Amino acid sequence: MSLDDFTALADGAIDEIDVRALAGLREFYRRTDPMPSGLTDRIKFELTLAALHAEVAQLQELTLSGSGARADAQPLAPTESVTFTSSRFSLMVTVGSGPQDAPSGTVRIDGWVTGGPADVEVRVGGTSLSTSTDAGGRFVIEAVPRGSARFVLRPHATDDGPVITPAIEL
Amino acid sequence: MTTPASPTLADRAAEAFAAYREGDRERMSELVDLLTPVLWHTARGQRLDQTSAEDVIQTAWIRLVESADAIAEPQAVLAWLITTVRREAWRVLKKDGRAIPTDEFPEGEVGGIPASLDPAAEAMLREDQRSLWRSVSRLSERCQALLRIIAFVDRPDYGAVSEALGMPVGSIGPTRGRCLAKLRSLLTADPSWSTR
Repeated sequence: MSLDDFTALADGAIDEIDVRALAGLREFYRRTDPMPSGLTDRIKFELTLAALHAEVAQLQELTLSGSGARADAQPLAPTESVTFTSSRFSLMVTVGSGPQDAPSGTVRIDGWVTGGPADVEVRVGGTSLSTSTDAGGRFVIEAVPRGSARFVLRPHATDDGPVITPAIEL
Repeated sequence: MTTPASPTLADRAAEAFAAYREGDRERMSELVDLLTPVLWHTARGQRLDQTSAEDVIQTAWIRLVESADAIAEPQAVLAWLITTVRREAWRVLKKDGRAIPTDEFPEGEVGGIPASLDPAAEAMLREDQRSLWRSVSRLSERCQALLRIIAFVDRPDYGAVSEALGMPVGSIGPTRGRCLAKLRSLLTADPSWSTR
């Protein structure tokens, strides 16, 4: 191709053939270097933190019902407990299967917050379920969909920002 | 001749962003779902590894939330994010003493595409995709990076995005420009690229 021909091609308007080449390119990059699947969730979490001015709790321990190690991404089995700690609270949650007539694919969460009464929210996917602790710091949330879940604690006593936990698999 | 235009990526982003700015905070999540894929390909096109690419993209989103009110036109949010990711990527490359992709011809891994795909990945590609890959890998790094971004936006948005990327836009609309013209001439010369 001569330089003049190339210049004419470059100055030409984008047509259907170009659009198809670009569509092919899009499919090519999607296949060879796809966006990591959890990326948008991680971004949303970061943005939530930034918006809430929230403190992130640490995942402290995983109490295993059986023995042996287990990958974090595996769902918690019934009776397994996890503990989160932050500067103001600790939160222990235990996952149970709930009553027999509970909707399938859901779990019951029994929790215990130390550090004072608080509103507790669990976020799973697009769903959010809330409750408050009793005087002893205990709470129960029924029929929580399985999936990647985070807890948000809002203390009753102070105007401090909420505490949010890392995600666990229910 | 003209059919009612369906909203483009930039339109949908502008709508969600405008609603977010007016107080509908939930719409930010929609914006993240809409625009993160093109930002991923923007960052990876600048030769960032996966972890750095994720960091740069997160930074751009945080910047957007911090400076949401400074963006004059919601329609500009797509171009603003792409530009921010590119600048952040350059900052990371510079800090690591690496070069920003230029018009130099490729050597080794460029634009996020390995110079030779691994056999399993290559086996998954159809013949026309292999042909496309052969042609793309002969473009300069800068061209690869630009076309990779353009490939993830809708046609009516090419003009605005090209402009943000410093590519010339003709008076009657987006022209091919050098990168797309080069790709097209390579593809046309490849008998296994079908123009079906």
